[in-house]
Amino acid sequence: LKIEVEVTNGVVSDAWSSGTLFRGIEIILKNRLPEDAWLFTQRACGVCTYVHGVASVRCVENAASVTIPDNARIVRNLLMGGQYVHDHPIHFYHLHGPDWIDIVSALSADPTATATLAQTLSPNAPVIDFSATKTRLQTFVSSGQLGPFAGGYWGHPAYLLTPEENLLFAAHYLFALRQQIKAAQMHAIFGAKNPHIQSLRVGGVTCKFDIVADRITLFRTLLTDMRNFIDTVYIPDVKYVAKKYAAWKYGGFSNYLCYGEFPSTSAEATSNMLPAGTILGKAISTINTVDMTQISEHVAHSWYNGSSLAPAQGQTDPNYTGYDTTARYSWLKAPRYNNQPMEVGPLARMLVAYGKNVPAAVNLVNDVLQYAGLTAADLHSVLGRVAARAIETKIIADAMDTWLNGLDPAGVSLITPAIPASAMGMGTNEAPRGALGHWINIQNGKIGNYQMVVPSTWNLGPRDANNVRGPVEQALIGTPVADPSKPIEVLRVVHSYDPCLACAVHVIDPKRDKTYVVKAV
Amino acid sequence: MSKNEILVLGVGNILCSDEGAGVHCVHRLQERFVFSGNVKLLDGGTLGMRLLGALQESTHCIVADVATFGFTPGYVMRLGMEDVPKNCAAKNSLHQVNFSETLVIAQSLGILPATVIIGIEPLDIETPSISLTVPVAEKIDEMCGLILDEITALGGSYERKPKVDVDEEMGSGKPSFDYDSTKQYNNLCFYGHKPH
Repeated sequence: LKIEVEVTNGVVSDAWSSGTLFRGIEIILKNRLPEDAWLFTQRACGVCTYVHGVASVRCVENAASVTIPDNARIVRNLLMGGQYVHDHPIHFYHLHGPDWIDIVSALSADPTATATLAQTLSPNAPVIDFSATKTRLQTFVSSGQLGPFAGGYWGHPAYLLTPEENLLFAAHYLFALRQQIKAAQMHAIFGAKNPHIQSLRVGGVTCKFDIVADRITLFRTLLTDMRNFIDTVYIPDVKYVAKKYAAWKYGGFSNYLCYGEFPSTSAEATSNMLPAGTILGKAISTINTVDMTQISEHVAHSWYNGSSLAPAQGQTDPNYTGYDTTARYSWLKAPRYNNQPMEVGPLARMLVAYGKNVPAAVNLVNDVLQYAGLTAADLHSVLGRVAARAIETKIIADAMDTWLNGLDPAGVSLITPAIPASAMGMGTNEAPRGALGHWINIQNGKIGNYQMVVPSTWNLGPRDANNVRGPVEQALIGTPVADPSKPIEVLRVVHSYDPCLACAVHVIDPKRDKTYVVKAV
Repeated sequence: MSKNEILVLGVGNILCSDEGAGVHCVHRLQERFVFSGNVKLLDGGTLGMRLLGALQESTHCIVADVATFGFTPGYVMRLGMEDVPKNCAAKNSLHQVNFSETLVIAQSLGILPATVIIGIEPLDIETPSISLTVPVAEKIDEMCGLILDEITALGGSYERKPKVDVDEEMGSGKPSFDYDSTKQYNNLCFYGHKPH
């Protein structure tokens, strides 16, 4: 990913988001068996691994008009939930955290005062030896090596936390790394391995012999550990960061799209715990129904031949013409809903759930807003995205404990459907990064056409055929940049979308006729 | 410590020529030997931070990987943690966490087992190819030999499998090849391709 911003008088005045990698999986899939597709699509990403598998089996099941057994639906919910519980804390602490937390400042912290702060912030959090953490950080710095923390903009005026607060979050950074090992172990119980689970099939799941009491108990033990971490560390930390940075209200967008996820009955999509919906122009009070026929992918500024098409008819016909922001500048297409750019992801899901009065979402969102001294209107921001990510992690992790009760060791978990010789299918889900859709056109029992419209193309795609900027391009405009050579503010906005690609930022300062290239900080 | 779990971890990207040398080592060991119960062989691919769990569960780790020190391509070396660069940057994507950074993170968490690295100087780690270059392919056996020595020193053991038909082992499309590690194959490389 390459983000280019133009800074005028210390504020971002224009932005271009460019996907620098070509994804050829749609082409590879042609003429293969529909039921094999998920093994290929799951490899679209090495981070968000399960989601492209389940979208694929769902689209083939949709083409074959299959209803999967309850055990399969519950296992898939647990696998998807496990993906959230694993990914979201990593995003906050390890990918986004260094945008808010000054690790070097932690070196001048008083460990005793930090322990008092930790106790005040979250009395039930695991007790940490802050003195030892500080020593460990000091060792890195003294050796001239910052270890995991090299390359940050330490000391930048945009950091607002005290040394003690920074030490607390640095300690939690390390703590969260240990937690993610447990989250990955949990995912592998019904997934067979992590990443890239192996237990999906068109028609259900193959982990029948793991749907037994002791495996379910092991899952619950690891889940309980994660839930304690979410309740006593992740949520309190996010609330605290939101409070300290409450005045930094940048990086918002206005339109949102959510396909919905976590079906609670065999009726699948209509019974989703997190409901589907769209929001236009920040109007959270009006949640519109999602009409999938309104989706099209524009390629006017992308390196593809062809025109704007619905995904079911979509084409993948690459034509690289060089990076030119006035013409074509991205390998990402520009998905649009009714010709509007839409943000997908945690904030879209939580705003739709909030607008639809899902109790857990309403309570947690209001709690964060009250604690941080913000209003619902402030949710359209980077901080809104950070908070939504933590809130949904808690909602999902809590629900997972209940879902476990629904597993039936004696029940069916896989059926073998007949794949039609010719059919169209669509499979959607909510990946941690946002709304994901796969479309298949089966011809002669083989894949005639396959298209994937992924969260990062919604959020990070380029301008469309009407020259309208994509969500991150619009969200960046208006962001203050104190020092164009250290654009931490730009990174905050970009990172808040959890880009699944490595990112380079180019800052252009036309007044001083200077360009700063910042790579992957 | 009562347990003595030895992890043999091959890392790298087998799609980029010599980048996958460590993974090729693990595959070759799996093909040719049966190991005692306390030895675990793992194809770590490019999993980065996702390998923390496997590291945490082990008391000793033998890493097989490429190491670029500027030696002649194919030069095999035994390295310790002190040779691993610690300059890993704060990340914006998990895709960017490479294996040496994972080792440093594991160390900072206090979960790194006693670790040695059997490294090999690569010739080409960029060209998309599932084959190793000739000078590296010729030294995979040497790397495997060093790994076996480490396993023995750490209290693990192994037995050679009966000679297998390579065609059967490797799946379709490969010629049958009766491999003998005591012989020198200077011009014939099992995995090798000529560098351009």
